[in-house]
Formats: sequence, C-alpha cells, structure tokens
Amino acid sequence: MKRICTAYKKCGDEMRVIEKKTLPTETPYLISGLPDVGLVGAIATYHLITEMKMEEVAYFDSDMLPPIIVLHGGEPKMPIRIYGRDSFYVVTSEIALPSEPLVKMLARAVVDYAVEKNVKTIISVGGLATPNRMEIKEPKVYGVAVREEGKALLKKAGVDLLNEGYVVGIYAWILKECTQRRIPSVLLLAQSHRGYPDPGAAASALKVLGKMLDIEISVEQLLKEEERVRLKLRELMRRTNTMLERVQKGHELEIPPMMYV
Amino acid sequence: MAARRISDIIDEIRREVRRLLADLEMDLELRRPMWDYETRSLEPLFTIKETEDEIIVTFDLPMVDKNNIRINATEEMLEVNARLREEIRIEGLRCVEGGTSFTCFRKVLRLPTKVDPTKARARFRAGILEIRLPKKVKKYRVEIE
Repeated sequence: MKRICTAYKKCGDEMRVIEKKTLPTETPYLISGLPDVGLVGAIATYHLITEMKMEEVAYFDSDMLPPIIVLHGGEPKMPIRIYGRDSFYVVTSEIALPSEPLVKMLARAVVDYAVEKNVKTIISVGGLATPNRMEIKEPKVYGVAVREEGKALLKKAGVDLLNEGYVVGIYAWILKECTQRRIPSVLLLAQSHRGYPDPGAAASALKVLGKMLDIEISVEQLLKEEERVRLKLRELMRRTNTMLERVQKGHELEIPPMMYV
Repeated sequence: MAARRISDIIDEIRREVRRLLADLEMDLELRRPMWDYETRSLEPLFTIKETEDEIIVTFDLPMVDKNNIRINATEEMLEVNARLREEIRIEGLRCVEGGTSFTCFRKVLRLPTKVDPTKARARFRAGILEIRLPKKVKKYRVEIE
C-alpha cells in the first residue's frame, strides 16, 4: 500500500489517499457518489460497484474523520473508499461527513486523486430535491457540466442542463475545484426525495450514466430491492440530513437572484 | 473600518448561540438509536412541514402495506404504527449479539402547534405516508378600509 496524495494540508488537517492497487488504463473516468440529497449518489455507486464486480483499490483517511471502521464479512474497511475496474474508478462513502471542513477536504482529495490518475472526466451523481417527488414515477435527470468535454457527455446521453439554481455541499466543492483547475466534470442530478433514500432516483441516474459511458448497467435488481434499500439506509439518511442542514442545503430550493445573465 | 455597534455584536452572539443550540439538538437526536429492541420496532424517517393552515407530516414507510398502518392523533400528538410486510433481520447492531428481527415501524411525535385531529387527512403512495392536520387556531382575513 502506498500513500499517493495529500490534499488540503493546513494546520495539521489533511485528507490522505492510501492506494492498494492501480488500474492499467491510461485515461479512466472517475465516478463519485457520496451521501447527499436522497442518498442518490451513494445508492447508485453501491449498486454500480456490485453490478460491475469492482474491487477496492484505495481509501481515504484523515485524522479529522470520525473513528469509524466498517466491517464487511468480518473484514475491517475504511468508510470512504475507491473501487475500480476496467477504465472506471468509483468513489463511495458509508458515512455522512460530519463537518464542512471535512467536506472541502474530501472534495479536494477526490479531485487530486483524479489528477494523479489522469482521469478524463469526473462524473458526480446526486439528487435534486423535488417537492412533488411522490407524484413522479420515473425521475428526470439534469446535468451540470464543466468544460466542453463535460457538455459533450451530457449531450451524448440527452441530458438537459440545469440552467438556473444553486448546487450546495460536496458537489459544489468538486465543481469549484474542477472549474479552477480546468478539469472536465459532470454532475448528474436526478429528481429525488429530499430527506428519504431514493433508489428510484439512483436508477434513473445510472441509466443516464450507462448512456454516457457506453456501458450496460442493469438496474433491475436495484428496483426490485428498492424498499429494502430504503429501510436499511435510514440511519445514513438521518445523519446525511443533519449534515445537509449544516451546510445550508436549503439553498438549493431557492431562486438565484441574478436578473440578467 | 467603522466601529461595530453593541447591538450588532449582541445580535451576532445571539445568532451564534442559536446555531450552537441547534447543533447540540441535532447531535443529541443522532445519539438516539432508530430501533427499539423491546418492542422490535424501527423508527421511520419523517419530516414536518408547517403551512399557514396545516401541519404536514410525512413518513417513509418502506415494506409496509396501506392496510397495516394505524394513525392516532390528538390535538398535540401524532402516533403512527405500521406493520412490516415481513420480519426484517438486521445484523451488526451493537449491544444485540447476532442481530435481531423487527416487525414494525413506530413513531410518536409532538406537533409544533395544536391541530384539529377530527379533520386530519392521510394518503399513502409509493411507501410514503402523508398526513395533513389542519391547525386549530385559524387566521382570519382583516379587510383594509
């Protein structure tokens, strides 16, 4: 195992990536699905990792993270991990980040890792809080793109751009880092419940992701297990809701003030 | 730099104290488990929204059928009991060796304001229960002369 990059080193705080293995591909994609609105990204990446039989290639670590180890099949694992297969890296987390500094640190570490791996485009998956979600059968997916490469990917999958609004939280930090460092990036936002786990929204996002990357992602199992997934992710959702409250996620429901742009 | 007024400083301190109290409340909430071993019940996720005339409470109730939901309401409290379609076994619970099975969702809530429980309405769609409770004290429109 080797430590390959350190992000946000300030006042002793840092986020490290500890790498176990690397993919042979030269220009991979990085897909990030972290706990956010409706846990859409987290559910989508858990499913993707299982469906594509990906293996763990690295994990994030920081002294600032809560002292949590996750046990899977008796094996201790760090809660924020990177999986990989073929030309895809997938970042996922089993914990909600408890503070805003950690959110910033992780966002920078994700982008640093992508740069280190010469990633073609960073694709983040999240939810778009939709008040009438109960009435929507198949959630629509909107996109935000950084640079022409990002826009081309959205166009390829027929995704409408989210023209007005706010993005708040970890994905705002990832988009900001990508904009400043000129890294192609896409954020997929599926219409979702704000405070309840939403596997239906995750399935919609995965269908779009499949079209963008020319890969077959079956969501049949995810939709079949939808209710069980919702039940099992209640506690992560509750923690995520608390975290979102702290980073003023309510902003996303506001109308931006610019009149002529 | 202009000197800050004492009232501004007091306002800032008030805001900070409010924020710290809200954070503390959230932390205490997170320390409470979302399951009860004695009653074999799970706590559902819920949201409370207040409009001018109503309190709207929604509950996420996956693996529940409409016929197995019981709602009781008083002027100040709301209670929801919902039997799960099948027992759910959850492994890895601290304090409970070998995990345990749960049979229902249960939640009792204190409402933010008094309601008229006799006029409450509920609907259940895609595993989400929405209960609308009209507020007891209605506002009256005041005409402008």
